[in-house]
Amino acid sequence: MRSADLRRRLRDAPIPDEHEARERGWRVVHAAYAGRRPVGASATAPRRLAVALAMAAIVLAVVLTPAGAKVVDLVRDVVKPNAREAKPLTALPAPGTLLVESDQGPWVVQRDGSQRLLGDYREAEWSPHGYYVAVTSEHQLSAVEPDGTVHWSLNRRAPSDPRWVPETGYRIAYRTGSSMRVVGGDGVEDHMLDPSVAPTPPAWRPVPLARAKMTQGEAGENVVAVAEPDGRIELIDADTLTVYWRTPRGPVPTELAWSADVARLVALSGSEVRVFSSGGKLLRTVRLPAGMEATDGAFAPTGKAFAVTGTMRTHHGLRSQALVIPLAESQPKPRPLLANTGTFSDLSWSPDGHWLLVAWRDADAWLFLRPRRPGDVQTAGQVSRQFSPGSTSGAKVPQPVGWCCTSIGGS
Amino acid sequence: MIVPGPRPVAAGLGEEIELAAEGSTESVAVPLRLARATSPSRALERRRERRWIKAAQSGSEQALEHLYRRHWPWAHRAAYLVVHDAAAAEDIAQEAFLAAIRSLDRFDRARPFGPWLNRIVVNRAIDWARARSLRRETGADPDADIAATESANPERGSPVYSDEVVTALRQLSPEHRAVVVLRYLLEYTPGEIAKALGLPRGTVNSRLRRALDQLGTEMEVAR
Repeated sequence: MRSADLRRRLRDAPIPDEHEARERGWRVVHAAYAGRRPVGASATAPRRLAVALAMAAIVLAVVLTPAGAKVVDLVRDVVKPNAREAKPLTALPAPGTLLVESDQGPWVVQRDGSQRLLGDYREAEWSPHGYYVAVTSEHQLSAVEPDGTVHWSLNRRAPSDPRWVPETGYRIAYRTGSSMRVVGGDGVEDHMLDPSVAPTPPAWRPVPLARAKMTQGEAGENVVAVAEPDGRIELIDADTLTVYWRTPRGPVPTELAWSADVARLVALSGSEVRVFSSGGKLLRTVRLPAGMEATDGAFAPTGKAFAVTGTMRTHHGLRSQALVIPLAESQPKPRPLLANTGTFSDLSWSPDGHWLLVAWRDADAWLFLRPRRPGDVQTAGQVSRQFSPGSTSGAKVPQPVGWCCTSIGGS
Repeated sequence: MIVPGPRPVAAGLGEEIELAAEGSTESVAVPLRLARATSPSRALERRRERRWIKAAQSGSEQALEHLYRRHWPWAHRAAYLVVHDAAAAEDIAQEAFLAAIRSLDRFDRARPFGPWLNRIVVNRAIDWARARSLRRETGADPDADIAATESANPERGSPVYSDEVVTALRQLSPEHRAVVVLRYLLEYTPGEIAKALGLPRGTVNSRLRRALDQLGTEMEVAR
């Protein structure tokens, strides 16, 4: 075949869905472009940067130094929300749909604040693109549509922590008793993955947009990180049950999370964040601020930063902090975003990565933080009442468990 | 079918683009091609692209759209011909553009845009195709895209054998597909391919020879 002929054939080869793909791509690219701030576009940008830096310096000094402790209340008045005066949640500050666990069951909250109760379930987890929600009840794991329609159910004893494979959604890993099992995204081919695991949600390795190089002999698509009872972490192929690697023993993590680029696996446990390479090598251990015990953690959609909430006991009582660890930096150190009395229990990133939702249990409030603008906090108050309509007794503060779906931008 | 416009060409001889991809400064080898391209139309094209980049850096959505529509067909097509999966090709091309947008403010306008974009696309496509070749497919028909292509091709049965070459290309390894795509779709020289893929030039030449031999054999068999 002549070169010109091959050239012509490659150029003319039909591509499925070509026009639609181009227009979809343009919408995504255009949205990303609209969300950026051009350099030099605003004359006030340097001033704003200086103010932000000054504010960040104050926050750091207050949070990190003993001398700063005395002025913490003053700063709190400036950058902290007043939960008692906060308005109910009427809209989400960023695009996407929020999944919330409450006493009554999981709710789906739309951007405009409208909400729908999925049913009498315990836990809920979005499928990769938000078409379904995996929910658990006492004896069932089910996939339901966001309008509550049940797609399929599987009878298992006390299923918990369901997690979908990112992107494809071909598998769901879940715990039952002390074991970890895997079922197809369509509810079939349920099988045992690991008979004895720690009470830690599994973490599927993101594929196929992985940027990490993969060599022959490494894992396939449906590969999941699982914590063992002795604190070791294993990477297991859910289809072949091949264990690709296993870390040494360590503290049992409460959270496992992969970065979007598959370069890092984070294990959050107590007062530290261990960062592993995609090959299971411990890259570093990041200590949380002294006395802080992590309550939740999640990667930003970009995978560059890992947000953590946690509590610490002081002589004034329980205090909480939300912070971000810039794991893409060579020497990542926690950057405090917000501190206050009480408990920050759960967190969730907005799909565009611009907002971090933190549940403030003692204040019955949700805090919407902007990691890029630490002083910019929006507060929604009395959220327990909002997610327990008609309830006359006190309900627990609803937990945001997922803000669907991962999109572009981010911090 | 979207007919791509003229293939975007590089602007400097063995130059490097100072462009940070996803937050880190990345020096990228630029194809040498445009150093030889001195025709008035190509020079005009380069100037026009520089204007688009400058305007896009200043916030012009129209300029960005020009850039996008200029380069998307090539990026998308290159990705598809390596991965043979329409959804993945779309994702890969999108991700490459998003990386470009994130780095737009730091982009050196004297440097060409297309080669940098295509380098990201082809390398990601190779990674994706390698990963796919390792996994056990479940719930997906690996030939679905080709079948869809064939049924959607109004010219099927005509003397145009474009889907035939796609099918034959599929039989090659991702690495061999990539060199074919870079050489015959994007018209890189072997030296440019070597730089883009980080390979010795001899390896590129041998892969090209082997890929063409195999392509010829596959297409003979298909007939």
